[in-house]
Amino acid sequence: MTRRTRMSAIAGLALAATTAATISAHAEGGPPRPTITPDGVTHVPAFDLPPSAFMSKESTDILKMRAMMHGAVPSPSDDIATARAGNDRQLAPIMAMMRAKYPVDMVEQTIGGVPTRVFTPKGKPFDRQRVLINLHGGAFSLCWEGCSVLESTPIASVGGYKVVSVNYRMAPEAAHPAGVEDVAAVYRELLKSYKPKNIGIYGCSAGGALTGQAAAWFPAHGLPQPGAIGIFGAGAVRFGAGDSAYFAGYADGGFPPPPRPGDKAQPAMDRGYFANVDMTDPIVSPALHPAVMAKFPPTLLITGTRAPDMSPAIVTNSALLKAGVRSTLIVAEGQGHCYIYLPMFPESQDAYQVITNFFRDNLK
Amino acid sequence: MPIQVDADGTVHVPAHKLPLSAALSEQSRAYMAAALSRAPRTAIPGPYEFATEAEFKVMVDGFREAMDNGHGKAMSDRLLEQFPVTIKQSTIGGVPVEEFTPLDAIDEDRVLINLHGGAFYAGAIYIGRVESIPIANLGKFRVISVDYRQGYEHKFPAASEDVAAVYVELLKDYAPGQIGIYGGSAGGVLAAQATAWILDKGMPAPGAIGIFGAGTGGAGDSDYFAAYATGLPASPGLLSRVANGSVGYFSGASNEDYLVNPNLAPIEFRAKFPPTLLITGTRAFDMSPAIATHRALVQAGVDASLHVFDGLAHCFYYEATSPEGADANQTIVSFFKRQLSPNRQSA
Repeated sequence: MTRRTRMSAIAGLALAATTAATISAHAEGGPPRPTITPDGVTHVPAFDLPPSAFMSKESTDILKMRAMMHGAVPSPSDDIATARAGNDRQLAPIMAMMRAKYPVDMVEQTIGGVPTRVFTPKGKPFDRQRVLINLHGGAFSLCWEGCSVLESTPIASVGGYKVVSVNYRMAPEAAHPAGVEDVAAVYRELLKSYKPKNIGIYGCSAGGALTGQAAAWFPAHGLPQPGAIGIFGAGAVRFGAGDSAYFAGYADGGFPPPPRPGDKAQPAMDRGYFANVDMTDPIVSPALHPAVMAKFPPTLLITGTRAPDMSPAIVTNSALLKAGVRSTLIVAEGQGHCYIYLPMFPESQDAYQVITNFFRDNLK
Repeated sequence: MPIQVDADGTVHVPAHKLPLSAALSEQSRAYMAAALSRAPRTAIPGPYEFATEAEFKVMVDGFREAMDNGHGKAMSDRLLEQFPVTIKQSTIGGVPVEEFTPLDAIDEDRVLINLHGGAFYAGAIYIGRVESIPIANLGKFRVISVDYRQGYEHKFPAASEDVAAVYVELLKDYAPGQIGIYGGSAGGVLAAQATAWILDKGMPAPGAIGIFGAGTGGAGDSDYFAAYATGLPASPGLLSRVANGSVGYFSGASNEDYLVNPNLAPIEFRAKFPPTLLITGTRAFDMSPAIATHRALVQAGVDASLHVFDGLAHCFYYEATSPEGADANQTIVSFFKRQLSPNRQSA
């Protein structure tokens, strides 16, 4: 390959003509510019990142609040009871907002021996043919109380669906594959009343990852695939890798960027849920395994440009498309991890509609 | 990690090191490292940088000459060896085109219209070849690459008119559902604009379109992430400035016109768009525009599919033999095979 041909594709047309005009536009004293070392590492200078021009006014207004909220995220160094209580307190105002905007009935019910909450829209009929299983977020260690409500409420209400949110076993009390076993137990029970093609499974963050794990687990354990799945705020591959770990780590702050050489090791967010597991395992990271991907049902992925889950989500989307599986990727401009938890965003409301339509189109 | 945020939502991003994406293939890693570390890197000249048409013309003439004698020709010659096809120059509907056909069996049921990249002032012939050769070869498609009118010589909507003229001529031999339209960079923008133009004139929509390395609309996070990640200073609103200069193809047009930015069309109009494939990368300045166009189409219920490649930059798939480039091209081929069918009537 010649020098010229190598230059060409990296920025399309961008590099060929070094004209007087371009040079003058980037003369000294202009905006800070990064340098790049021969190993391909970009040294990004400090810079100011304004709200994305494509973000709604509501999302722009809330950027600051979101940045401040991060300080309240429970630290993995706290004991688990303190962390869960702090998480509940932090989410209480948003849960109230969500319930007011999207009225639902919520009933506690044990299904297949696993505790669940069943959400149905308040005061209106719901879809009797279809059922959705929700797997809540919370780093495989917390957020049953809040995340199950935030993820199930808008979908039950907007979509007119019955949503079964699963209180699957988490760390530190349990470890993989306890969570996916509980999901399978609930699914098995629902299969007595519903056809697999009428069941959908979805979740955000850890719940999104667990949804992918369930779609890998079912065919490996003699269960049929559900009609469709939704992986939100996650991918079917581990967190913390790819460009988004850096973009989100430095521009959003909800999650720390990958450790630099010499950084002190931080305790794991998942409190040991995957401690004794090979993270390249086909159940844990199915997106790394084309044959597992090929058995996935139609999949909807939702992420954001400032979310650490963007790279896992887009890598999963590419792997599914390559395996010939129908995959729909939504990347929300300027949004962070599980932005759909915040019902005041037009972007979130768009997402509820997309999720509703996706399951209506694919569960039939 | 505490992040400083101003009252207006501006985030103060600290200095940091960004390694190449862990998701890259070995081939793309080597390629990115080599390309990125070559200094100085320069952005594509935009019409907004020029005060007069005369200055703009000098830059464009130089740019075209550099491309035609340099990397554009070299890259298309190399692709022709790797993906052999027959190239024939002709005129369709009064518009100059290059027609690409596979050497062996041809897909008689489908035809693709390619719109080359080149910032609406360059890229005729050689970027058209770069975008058409692998697709014609891999998909066994007949691909017609349009040498549409662009700046500095012409103004909007000349290019949309030329695409429509080729499309109308092809409608004599094909059903709309058999015709696909796609392009990279400026050609991706034009694929969206020409589709809007065709619909606005009351013609049936093509069967499917592909918007690659592009989206319509202006600014977003990728103006920053992509610029810094590829060694350039931030360039807020690059696409909107390209499309709204006081000189060049879009001077005199308005970014508020939905024939320039179809994202802004009424939802009932957007709903008429055919199935659409969008391809971009996390280090591509076109990522935010692609996301915005995808969102505008999904909102209207259009079957729009977005494909984002981790760690890769603007029109990375021009490098057709990298694993990611091969993936992207295969996705494009499968998309048009699936969405274009012999008897299908769109719209």
